[in-house]
Amino acid sequence: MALRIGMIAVGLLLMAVAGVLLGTLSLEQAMTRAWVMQDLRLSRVVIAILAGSALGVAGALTQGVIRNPLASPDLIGVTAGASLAATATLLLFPQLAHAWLIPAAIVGGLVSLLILLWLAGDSKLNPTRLVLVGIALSFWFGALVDWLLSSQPQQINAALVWLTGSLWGRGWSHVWILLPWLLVLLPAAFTLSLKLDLLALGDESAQCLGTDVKRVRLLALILAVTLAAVSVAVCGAISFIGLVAPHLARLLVGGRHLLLMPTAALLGAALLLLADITARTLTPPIELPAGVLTAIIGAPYFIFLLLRYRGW
Amino acid sequence: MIFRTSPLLSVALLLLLTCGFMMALLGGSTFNLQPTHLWQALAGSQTLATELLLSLRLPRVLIAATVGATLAIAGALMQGITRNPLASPALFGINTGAACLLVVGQTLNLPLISNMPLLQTTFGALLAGAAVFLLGGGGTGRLHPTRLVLAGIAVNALFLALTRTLLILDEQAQSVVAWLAGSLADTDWGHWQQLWPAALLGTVAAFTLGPKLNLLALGDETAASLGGSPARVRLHASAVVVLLAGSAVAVSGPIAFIGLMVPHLARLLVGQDHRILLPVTGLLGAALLCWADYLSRLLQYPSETPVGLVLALLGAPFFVWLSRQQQETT
Amino acid sequence: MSYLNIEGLRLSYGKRTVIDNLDLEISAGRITALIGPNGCGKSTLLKTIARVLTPQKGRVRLKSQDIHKQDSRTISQQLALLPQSPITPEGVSIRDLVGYGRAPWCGRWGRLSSNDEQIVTDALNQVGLAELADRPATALSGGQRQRAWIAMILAQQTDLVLLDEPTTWLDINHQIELLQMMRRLNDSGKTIVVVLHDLNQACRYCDELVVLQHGQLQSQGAPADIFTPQLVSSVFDVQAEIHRDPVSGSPTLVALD
Repeated sequence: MALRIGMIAVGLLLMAVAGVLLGTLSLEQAMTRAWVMQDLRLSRVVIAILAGSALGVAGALTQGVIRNPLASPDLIGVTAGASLAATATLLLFPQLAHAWLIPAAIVGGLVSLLILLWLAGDSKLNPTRLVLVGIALSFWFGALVDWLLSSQPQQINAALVWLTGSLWGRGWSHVWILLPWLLVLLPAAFTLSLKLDLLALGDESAQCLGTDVKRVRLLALILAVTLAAVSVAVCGAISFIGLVAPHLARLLVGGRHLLLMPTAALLGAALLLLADITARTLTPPIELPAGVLTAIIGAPYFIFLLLRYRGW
Repeated sequence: MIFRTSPLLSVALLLLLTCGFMMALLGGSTFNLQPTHLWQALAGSQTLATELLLSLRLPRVLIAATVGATLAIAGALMQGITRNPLASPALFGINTGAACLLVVGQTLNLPLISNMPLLQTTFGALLAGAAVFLLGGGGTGRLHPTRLVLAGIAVNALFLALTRTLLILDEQAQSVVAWLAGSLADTDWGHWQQLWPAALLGTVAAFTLGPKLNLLALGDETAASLGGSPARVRLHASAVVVLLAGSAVAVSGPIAFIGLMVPHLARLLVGQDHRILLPVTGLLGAALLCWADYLSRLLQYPSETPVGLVLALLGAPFFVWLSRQQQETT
Repeated sequence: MSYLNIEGLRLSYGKRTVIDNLDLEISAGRITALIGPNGCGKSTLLKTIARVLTPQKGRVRLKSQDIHKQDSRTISQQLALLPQSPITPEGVSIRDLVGYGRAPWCGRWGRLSSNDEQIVTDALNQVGLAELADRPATALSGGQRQRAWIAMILAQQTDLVLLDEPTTWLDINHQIELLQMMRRLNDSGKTIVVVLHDLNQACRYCDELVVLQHGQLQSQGAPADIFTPQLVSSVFDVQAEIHRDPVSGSPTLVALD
């Protein structure tokens, strides 16, 4: 059962990869333009896969911790915090190399997590409160980003395209700064699987089944924030993948995190690829940012979840 | 019912409003405006300064005050009918919905409708408001605070993404970008002509709803048993909200947080009675937006910050505080 | 040295002190009920024994080891808790749920050995859920769900079992079923501490009563010895007669007008 579903997910992913690579070109055309494939499209595919899976896993971790299927890094204000830090770096220190964006975004994400915990945290980390305060925080960070943009009008265009979340103009150099982070973070996330399973039973049960609830929760949140921030640093704020991918994964393979997290990673990658290809082929030659597409697909799905969710 | 308002309070409020009005009228200009210029303008002399005051500043300040009042009253009505302290036009995606429809109108360039921004924004406000209300559980009569906020987020995100798509696809619509951040910079007497009839109508209608909202505050069942009709009051109030928010957004762009913040401040000042709460909310909202407009010119002097941003910077921490309170009461 | 020993315990939420300077001994192999009016601290006490809450002062010792000084895993091999309102996760089968009970005994990845699988199957059989084992846990009715959680506690294989108001929200037939299950657990050698709301059920199904009032120990002993009209009137402010239950012979409260 799980194997079959895994194959479906991989198949989806492959189809999406092929789609992005070929795009509007036919196969023969593609063969003759190998450089386009290698230099432009392939690197883009790889980035989409990496960033998409980071977002998927970040969402799965967040939902596991907050114990609310409607939570995701974008909703608790972490993405906005990372965006703010990255925008500030981009605008105030334009001469810095792109590799600095990742540490900046991570710091931004972690600081916003700290603010969130400070504001919403009692010892128990009440899920509803986390979400509400998180939403408020993302409003505030969003306003600060807008303020930065309006005060630096000469750079506004680059920053705007980056902010909506786009894969445009990303190349192999971005792959190399993204990859090492994910090679560390993803396995670290997978080791938390069993603890997250237990956390889903409620704090008291998790504690009595041998979980150090507070520690696991903090660790998972930090991992989720870092994963989301890394992808924000490279692709900008791509919304809703962190929400949709883990949820679809839960429908496919159930609630055991050992299976759920890899599936969420696969689905996240596939979703981002699909969004990217749609963004490119919908209205040529103008390219839409992939982040807009994920929002247009993701928001209705979120609404659908909201209608189904009965846990109020 | 006790009116918790003293003459002192009314004086203080009016003073706040007048000061804000004057500051917004005269302050933060590269052209050194003095109160004396105002007298000259009133006396009918025509200098550069008086010309500036009458044709640029005066409409702008009037619009600021009116937009502030309408948005604040819309927020108070929404909080009244949903019995939810987090309800406000911006959080419910009403502002973004209105903005999105306006951009749609600009892009499609339909012959008749494109010239009627009020119609477009009102329809957008209606669309978004209805969606959030229904998604938040309004159909079942059980509105859950978090659920409402989440529904607002989703609807907001959807309209925002649509707006961005249109902006990227259509070069002509680029002029709307500054307006989208919520700005009073380019307003003139033409906008004022557009704004005041709808705002006046909406405000008067809102005031007549006051007593009914008081009943509603007791809970649907009690309100019904005291002879009110909760469903009908909600419907009327929603129509008024759509009119108020739609007309404000058509002129100033989506300005967030006034509708959320001001009703709470007003409630702290005068208590829960909507008959007095709604007018005070209006006054406070007008004063707040005037001051924010003044601030928006000072913040990065001599260039202007969109006033919507100033309010978001002020308002988001308030929202944080409110959501913390929220959790303690539910 | 006794089995479970509580000494000088103080617990407060913020400024409100719920339990103050409580000393208590609970002996092995018996069913002990914690009773008392709402807010007397009985659930708080249970959660402290379960190591969910950390006391501001005092010690809880299980077999002369301070439980708050050991790590979660060691403790989870010795005591199990059925919370008052357990959360049933989505997308997990009943067998998975019961399998979580093996978490204290298996490795980091939660892989179950064939021995673990056997224990899970036995637990499912004991509570009569073997046929439903592959259904999603969320599809169960209230009574069945409580049984699934009992199975999870069985799979955890601990000496000490803590139950926090296990009969709340259940219909009377499921309440009795659950209490009988509790007796069987006890017969198989487990020590049980349970918070109960219904005084008559506590008297009938438990060996020992611990009566708490305002965070203090009011009285402790076998129901037949300590459950008197005086106790009921001083702790619960109810005028009542105590009769003997015609079936079991345990004391039964009948309120006076």
